[in-house]
Formats: sequence, C-alpha cells, structure tokens
Amino acid sequence: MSEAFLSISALQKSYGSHQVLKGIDLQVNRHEVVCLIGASGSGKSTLLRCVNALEPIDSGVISLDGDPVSGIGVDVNRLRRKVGMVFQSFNLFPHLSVIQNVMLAPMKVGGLSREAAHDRALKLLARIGLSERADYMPDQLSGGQQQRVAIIRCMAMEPEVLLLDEVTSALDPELVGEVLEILKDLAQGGMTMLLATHEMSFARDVASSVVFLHQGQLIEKGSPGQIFEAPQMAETRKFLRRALSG
Amino acid sequence: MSNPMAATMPTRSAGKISAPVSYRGIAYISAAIGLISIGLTWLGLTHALSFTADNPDLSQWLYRIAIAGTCLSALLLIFPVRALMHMRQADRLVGAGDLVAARVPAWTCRQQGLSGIGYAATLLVLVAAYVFLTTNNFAVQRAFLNPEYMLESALMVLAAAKLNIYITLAASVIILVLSLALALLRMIPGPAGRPIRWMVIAYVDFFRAIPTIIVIYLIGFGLPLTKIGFVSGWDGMWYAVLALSLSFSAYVTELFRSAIDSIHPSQIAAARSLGLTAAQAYAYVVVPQAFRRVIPPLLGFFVALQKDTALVLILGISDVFGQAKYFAANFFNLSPVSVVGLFFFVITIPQTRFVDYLIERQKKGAR
Ligand SMILES: Nc1ncnc2c1ncn2[C@@H]1O[C@H](COP(=O)(O)OP(=O)(O)O)[C@@H](O)[C@H]1O
Ligand SMILES: [Mg+2]
Repeated sequence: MSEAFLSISALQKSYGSHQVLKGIDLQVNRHEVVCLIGASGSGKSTLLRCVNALEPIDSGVISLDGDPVSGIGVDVNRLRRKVGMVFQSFNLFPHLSVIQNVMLAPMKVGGLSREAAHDRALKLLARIGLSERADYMPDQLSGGQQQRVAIIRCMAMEPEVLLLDEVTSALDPELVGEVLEILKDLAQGGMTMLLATHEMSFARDVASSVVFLHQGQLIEKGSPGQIFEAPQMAETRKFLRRALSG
Repeated sequence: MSNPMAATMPTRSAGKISAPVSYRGIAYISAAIGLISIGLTWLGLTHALSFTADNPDLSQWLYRIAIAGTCLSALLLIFPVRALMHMRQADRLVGAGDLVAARVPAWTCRQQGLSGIGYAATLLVLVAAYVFLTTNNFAVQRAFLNPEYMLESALMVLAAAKLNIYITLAASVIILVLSLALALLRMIPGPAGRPIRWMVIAYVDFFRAIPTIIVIYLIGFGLPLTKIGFVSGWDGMWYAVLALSLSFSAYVTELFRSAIDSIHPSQIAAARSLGLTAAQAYAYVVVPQAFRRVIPPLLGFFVALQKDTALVLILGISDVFGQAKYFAANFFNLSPVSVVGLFFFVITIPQTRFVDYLIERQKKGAR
C-alpha cells in the first residue's frame, strides 16, 4: 500500500496533555495536489509542521519515497531539501533583499556558486513577474508580492513536495488571486503539493483530493466533487455550510 | 434601562452644537503665574547682591544680570498675552453664537496659556539654581566651581584622562569578543550543551550580582597578592581593564542573548525549512538581525563603561579622577573634581544623543 510518494500513517502529536493529531493516515502521490480543510485549530498547521520535522511527533510514521523520515535520528536537513514549506506569515528574511532571500539556501545548502544561485533566482523572479524588485527589501513589497517571493524562495531549492500553510490567509482579499495564480501554475507543472487552505474555490478547481480535518482527526477524504457536492459526514457538511456561506 | 448619565449628557440631537473646550480659566491662571514669575525672578536674582556690598565691581555685574534676567522673564508674558487675545476672540464668537468657529481660538488660547505656565515653571527652576549657587555668600559656587582652581588643575587632570580612554578602548574590545562568545555558548542546543549553558548563566549571574567597584577592588588588590607569575605584577591599569571587562561582559552577554532571543521563531522555522542547519540559521538569519537591534543598547553600555573607568581610582591609579582628587585635597576645594564632571559631561552627551538618534531611527524602521 505504501506506493504513495508521501505517506503518513497513524500520526499522533500532543502539546503537553492536549492531543492535537489523533492518528492521521494520509497518502499523497507524485503530482497530486492535496488540500487540507478544516476549522481553525483542527490541526492543519501541526500536520504540515510534522511532515517537515519542524515539530517532533509522538508516534506513527511519515515516509517520503519509501524512506521513513520521522522520528529520532533522521537527517532533518536532508529531508528539508526535498520538502519545501511556505508559511502563512511569509517569513521572508527582513535583513536580506528579495534576491538574497532566494539565493541564500541554494548557496549555503545547495552548494551553488553565487553566479549560479543568482541566475536561478532571477529566472524564478521573472516567472512571478518580480524581476525589477530583485533588489528591494521585503518590507517594500506588498503582502502578495512577499508571499510570491516566499514561494519561489522555496522552489529555488527544487523540492519534491511543497507544503503550504494557509499561504493566502494573511493577505488582503485583492492580493489573494495573484498568489493562487502561482500555485495553479505550479500544480499544472506537476508539483506535488500538500496545502492547508480556506480558499474553497481554489480547492475545488485545483485539488486532486480534499481532506477534511476535524479536531485532530481525518474525517473524510475524496475528490473535490465528492467533498463539495456530496459530503458523507455530518461534521463535513456543517463545516462546508459555514465555509461556503461565509 | 435607566441611565443616570442621560440627564446630564448633552443630547446629540440635530442643531445642538457642543461648546469649545474650556479656555478662560487657563488664560487667567497663565497670566497670574507669568506676573508672579517676574517678581520671583527679580527677588531671586537680586538676592546675591546682599553679599557683595564690599565689592562694587561685582555688585555692578550682578545687578546687570538681575536686570537682564528679569527682562527676559518679562518676555515670557507673550504667552499669556496671546492667550488673552485668543480668549477675547473666542468670547466674541461664542457671544455671536458661532460655537464651531470659536473652537479654534479657544483651543489656541489653551495652548498659549499652558505654554506660558510651562515656561514659567522652567524659569523658576533656573532662578532657584542661581539662588542656590550664590546664597550664603556664594558658598556653593566657591566650593564647586572656583575658576581659579579649575584652571590651575585642568591641564594635569585632563592629561590624566588619557588613562581612562586607554582603559575604555582596551576593555571595549575584550567585552565585545568575550560577550559574543559567551552569548553563543549560551545558545548551544540540546542536552550536550546543558553544562556549558549553566556555566555561562553562572558567570552572568555572578558578575551582575557583584558591584563593579568590588570586582575592581578584589582583582586589583587580590591578584597581585597571589604572586602567581601569570596574573601578578601587571601594570595597575590592566587589572582595571580585566575587572571592568569581566563585570561588563556579564551585562553585554545578556544583551546579546536577549537580542538573539527576540528574533521571532518563525524566522528560524523558515530558515530550517529551507534546509539550513541550526548553525547556519543562526549565522545567516538570526545573528545579523539581532545585531542591528543590539547596536543602540550596546553603545549605551560603552558610555556607562567610560564613566565607570573613574572607579579605578580606588586602586590608587592616577586616572582623571585620581588626579583631580589629588588637586582637590591640596586646594581643600572640590573645583578640580568638577572639571572631571565636566570632562565626562562633554564626552558623554554627544554619544548619548547619538544613541537616542539611532533608537529613534530604528523605531521609524528606516534602513
Ligand atoms: N506550539 C504549540 N503549543 C501548544 N499548543 C499548540 C501549539 N501549536 C498549536 N497548538 C494547538 O494545537 C491545535 C491545532 O493547531 P493548528 O495545527 O495550528 O490548527 P490549524 O492550523 O488547523 O488552525 C490548536 O488547539 C492549537 O491551540
Ligand atoms: Mg494554522
């Protein structure tokens, strides 16, 4: 069964006595886009952070391409070169210019020369239409621009999976579209993605499958059509009623 | 629900316009305080004349000072006068029923009246200082600010300040290197780093708990007594440098650590998720950001260090203060020590202004 590229099984995670993830099973195949939906506090961020080993897990196994990458003794730096992560709050490095933000990891981690890293960064910036902003500082960009830079900063490491945690939630509504556009591009390019989102229409358009998390449990998984048109579980219906009306 | 306020609150129904801020009282109070201040200034400035009956020359000068000062204090009446003018204008407009138009002169009246009170209070403090300096036949001025003694000692005293400058420079270098090393040791993660972290914490706690002057005393007199070749027989200045470095490094280590701590964990998460190791995340992301935040308080510590070099006189070293104390004992007068005070004042003020400027600039978020 563990044919999937990213496989999460029986994942449990607590903060103190508060169990946040209560045994999650989830498979993501190559080139799939899996959307995590669920109320705030349902454990979406925690799940993504566990996959990237930003949080230690209590039990269960996460494997990537058949290689278990969770637990003690795993080379987390190696794992993170394959798994990119983009955060709700952009987290650009404020003391570095836009292009330096993109170049840092390829140079220091990927071992690229300054010239090669610069070339790669410029190409990626051109892809998101921000070539002219290469030498700006992050706080001179709009939120949408910052988040687009954060996404390509990740892509500069050529990850095999991209984790995205509500990457449009901190944006003004009119800036959401430009970020989703980039994600659609990446999805069409075959990027494997696992993303937490509140953008239901994006999930409907782009997702290969949609997963509903409720209080740390994976309640329902299916194609966007199944989840949005014919949800099986009462909690899913309740959540969607709220989410789609609001 | 019954609302007890309802009866007294002005209703906000259409056509009802609220009155301007109250202004008449402040204008009158400001005028009264202005007039009283002029009188007090005259009394305060002429007080010194009562001690100079036998010195007509000096009396003449003090008389001129008194007249000039009082004239100057009369200038401050400009504020209450303006307040009263705006008050009249506001009164006229209120009388004419134009409450909205009255708001501007009423507000201006208040501002001018308050300014008058503020300046009058400051003037009275200055006059009080003058009275303090001159009272009892210029006792305070003679004891602290005798120009003859100040001039006679100034050259030697300021020459001795060289030593304070050397101590400051040497200690600054040691403090910077030692503190950064200690702060980074303090951040070593994991159980393996625990004993090292404890050691740094103990060092910081220890030297922050002990007054700097005690550290100087113990090291300056204690180490030579040990007769250990490595640490005895130094020049006195180097014991002072060592003691100040140990004491200040405790504070600066803590400063570096808290600056590193103040960088939001999401920055580390972002760096780590890009594949940077913990050490790389600190080197390229955390420390550079922390360093900018640390510069103003760091300069503040160096100003404090400069001033604390005066403590080394307890080792019997002829620094700026030691030299001045020697003169003061000879003259039986403190004016040479005032020279030291002035010296520190002159070198410190530009630096603290510069620090304030940096802090201000950082607040504005300019780069
Ligand atoms: N660092 C933490 N310490 C303690 N509790 C946490 C921490 N992070 C998240 N939680 C808790 O875990 C639960 C799930 O949070 P999260 O994964 O952020 O949910 P979501 O992203 O779906 O909104 C919440 O109840 C939250 O309060
Ligand atoms: Mg979240």
